[in-house]
Amino acid sequence: MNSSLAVATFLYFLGMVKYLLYLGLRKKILFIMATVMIFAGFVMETVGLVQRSMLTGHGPYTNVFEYCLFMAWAVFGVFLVAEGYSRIKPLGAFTAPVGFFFMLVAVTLSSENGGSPSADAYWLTLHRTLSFVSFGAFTIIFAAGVMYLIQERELKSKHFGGWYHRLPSLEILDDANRVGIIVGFPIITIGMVAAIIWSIQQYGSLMILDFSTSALIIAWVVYAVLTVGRFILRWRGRRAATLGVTGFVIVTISLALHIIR
Amino acid sequence: MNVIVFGINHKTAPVNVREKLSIPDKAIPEHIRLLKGKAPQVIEEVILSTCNRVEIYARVQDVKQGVEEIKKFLCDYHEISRDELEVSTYVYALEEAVEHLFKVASSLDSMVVGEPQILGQVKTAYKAARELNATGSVLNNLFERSFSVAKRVRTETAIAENAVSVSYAAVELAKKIFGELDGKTVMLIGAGEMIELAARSLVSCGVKTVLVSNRTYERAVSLATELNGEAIKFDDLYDELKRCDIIISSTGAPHFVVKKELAEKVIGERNNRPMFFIDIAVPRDIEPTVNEIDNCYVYDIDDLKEVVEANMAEREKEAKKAEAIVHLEVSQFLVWLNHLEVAPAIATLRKKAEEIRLSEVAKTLRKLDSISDEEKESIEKMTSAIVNKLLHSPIVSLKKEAEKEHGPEYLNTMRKLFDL
Repeated sequence: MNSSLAVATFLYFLGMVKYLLYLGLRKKILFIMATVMIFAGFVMETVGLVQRSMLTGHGPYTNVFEYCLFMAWAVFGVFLVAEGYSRIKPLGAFTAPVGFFFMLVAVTLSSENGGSPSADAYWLTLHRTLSFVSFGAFTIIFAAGVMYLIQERELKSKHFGGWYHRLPSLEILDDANRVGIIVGFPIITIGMVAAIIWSIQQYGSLMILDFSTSALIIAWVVYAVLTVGRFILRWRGRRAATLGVTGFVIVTISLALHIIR
Repeated sequence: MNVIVFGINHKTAPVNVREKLSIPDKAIPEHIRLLKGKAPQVIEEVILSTCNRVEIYARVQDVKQGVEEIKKFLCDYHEISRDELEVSTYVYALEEAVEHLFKVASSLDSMVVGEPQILGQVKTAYKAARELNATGSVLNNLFERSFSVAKRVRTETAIAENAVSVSYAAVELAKKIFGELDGKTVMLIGAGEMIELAARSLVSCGVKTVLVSNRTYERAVSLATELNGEAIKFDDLYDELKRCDIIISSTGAPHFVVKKELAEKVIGERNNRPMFFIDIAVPRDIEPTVNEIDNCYVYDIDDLKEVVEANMAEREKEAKKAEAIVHLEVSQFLVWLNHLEVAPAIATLRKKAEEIRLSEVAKTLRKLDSISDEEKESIEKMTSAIVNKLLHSPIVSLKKEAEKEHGPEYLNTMRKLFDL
């Protein structure tokens, strides 16, 4: 792990802690500091990934170490856009831990180079990048879903704890779910198509693509169900939120199983 | 620099006492003029009179005598006995007076903590006094500062964020469900006073369409005209429900007006867009189990009251944060105040020393008439140097100490020591 990446890990950690503190204490300054730190961490990680790619001659997707780095990068990148766009202030407290988790896993892994990439890697790179970004969007759907379920429980049960005051309105959270699907599903679908094209070019048929293929297929299916439920069956609110959260958990577990194996 | 506040408020006296001391807006200029005439100790003054408090803010020459004069004036003016006045009033001086004003302006001393009207009332009172030239540099600065403290409290704490009345609790809940209320449709079932209040609050927060339905159609029409909405026939109610995001119900019906099956059907027709039922009727109009349907939220009158109580508790928490801000601002203001006093005190000290030096030098020179001009100049220079060097460290430490909390004590000690 090069120094830029180490600094990025540290900044992500500080940002995450600040977001959690903001959720508890609701001091505006904490929120601003948290966003600045996550942004700085994101910039540092970008620098670190570019440095590493120049050194190894390929993008960060040849082994689990690089996968985790790339995953964290996608999660924080998508999060920064989502925070700016949605103005959901507690979003960071639910998203940053997910991103930081991947950084943490990366720290524990060997940073050795995972070997040379295939020569004709254009479609493969596209596929991988889009898959990671779609996972970032999935993290937002997850975070919004968790917040929705908590806030909905507060409103239904009529016991107004701290969450009621801290979390935004159901409408805004439901909208985050909707936008997350609108953005995430096409991206993951294009990513899948890219993978198929690459596979056919490379092997002349549909082959097992890489170590996370089944996780990817699961993620696509969950996204597809969400899309159908949301836009054809008119699911809203709790149902969409629950599916977003469980879907995210399923995808993360299947990813983790692959990493362990 | 002696700032005092003499006053009475909802915490210290019941309304039958407060009303005796209250001063109508129109009488305030007269009151200010009279007080100035009767109380020579009062240099600057502002009178704040609202339904919950009557307070006189003043800068006086001497705290004790100033308070005496104000008390005497009030007893004479309002024709009440001294005992009665003293039992229910309070006096704060210096630091405590500053803190009190900051708290009042920030609505920390209000009956409903965080209510926004008080700041406007303080502003009006200050403006009235300033127009009569009853204020000077100290009260001007004090009041201007209190406005910025109030603003700080408002922006840095959530003290005024949560509703503390039933109708605004309904608005707040609606916002937690729908986000913005712009373009939403509300239906009123029944036409009582309570329902009208809740509807007005919603309309003021952006609700676009108001539908009114009532057993007596004429009453529905008249309320609809008032609220700029449309009246609907009671029989059409069930068809119109699917247009409505918020339903406020307050009929005298002995049975449920909206049952679970109906709500289920309507929410399906709405493609699961949320519905918020506010049931302020007793016996209730909306079947409570409607709350179990996804995207349906039912609140009865007790639930709304619970929201209000929860919000009250939340305000108390925020008030603690606000008080920390007030304390900080008070000490900053006192530093400024001390600076204001230190400069003239130092000038007086220098002037006094210079006068002593000049007179002593003159005396000595008269005795020594044989010395040359050059030698005279040397004596002048030497005496100046002695005076300056002697005064140097007291002045420096005085300036330094003025920035600390016990600044005024230092100043007083210096005045006593040098007999200024």
